[in-house]
Amino acid sequence: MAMTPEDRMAELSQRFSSLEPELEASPEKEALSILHAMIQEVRRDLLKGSASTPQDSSQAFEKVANLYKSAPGMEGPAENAGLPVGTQAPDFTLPNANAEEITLSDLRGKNVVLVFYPLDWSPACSDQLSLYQSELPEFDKNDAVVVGISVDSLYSHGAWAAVRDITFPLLADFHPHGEVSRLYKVMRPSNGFSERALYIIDRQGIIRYSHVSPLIHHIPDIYELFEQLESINKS
Amino acid sequence: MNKDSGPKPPAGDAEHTVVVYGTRWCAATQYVRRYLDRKDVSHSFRDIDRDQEAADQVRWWTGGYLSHPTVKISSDILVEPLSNEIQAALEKNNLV
Repeated sequence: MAMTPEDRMAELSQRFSSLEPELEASPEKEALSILHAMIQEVRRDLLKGSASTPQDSSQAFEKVANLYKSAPGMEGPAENAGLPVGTQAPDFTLPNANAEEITLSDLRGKNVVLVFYPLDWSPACSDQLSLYQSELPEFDKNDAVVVGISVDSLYSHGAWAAVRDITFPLLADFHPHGEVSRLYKVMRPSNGFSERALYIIDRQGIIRYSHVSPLIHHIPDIYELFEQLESINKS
Repeated sequence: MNKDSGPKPPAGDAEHTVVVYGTRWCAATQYVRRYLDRKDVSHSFRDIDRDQEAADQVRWWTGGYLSHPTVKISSDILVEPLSNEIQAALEKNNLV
């Protein structure tokens, strides 16, 4: 029986994948690899027509929303260790994107996942907070709320949350610049923004998990975060 | 074609139709893994920071780049895919 085009493509693709270990590094191997990558991109373009993408977004909106994909990346090791587990979480009040004052101690009774991140609009941050946005039901299941903090202004937070569809609060540690980041021992002296750091603060206001990314572009492992939340809820 | 004498499939992929190649610190990789979790799609994860063979395979697919995540769904190779691209590939391969 004749193969369908889909089956033929599947067979060819499988054979291509299998050949990688058989070939020594060479310009010919590189050329084949590049050719495969080009075919993938052409295929992606062809599939775009059938994929469900929002049709009502203007080109300008799309451009701004996707800026993070080509924005300069951030690199560098951590410069701080953060506050240790077992510490009473320092209380603070900061404005969210709507200029409403949010006080940490008002969230008592829920687990709070405090997410310090370097800056709005930067590549890794965009992906990190979008990841948390997609996981809000899971955080809710763990009786936890997510709160983002960076040194950006509340206006930047508002625009960024709008294009990224982020609904959890983003707090502006803008003035005095980085005061809360300093309080939590995550302010980077060399950059003027914070480490990428996570704290889980339990229902009593105690820090139960503290993680500072060893490299600033490294996003904490979400599986570990959920494990920690589950363990806090069991204790 | 005599399949017994053909090239072997990439090691470690045999048990899963869906394989995510990426790193533990990449948000997009985490997003894809969790997306598959939520869809209840059985998959394996290969850490290209620690698994040289997996890293070589990714470079082979992507023209020499260590693009992550790269997702193999049956014979479809998706490089840094959007969720709708993953969904389309899952549907095409009758995995959802």
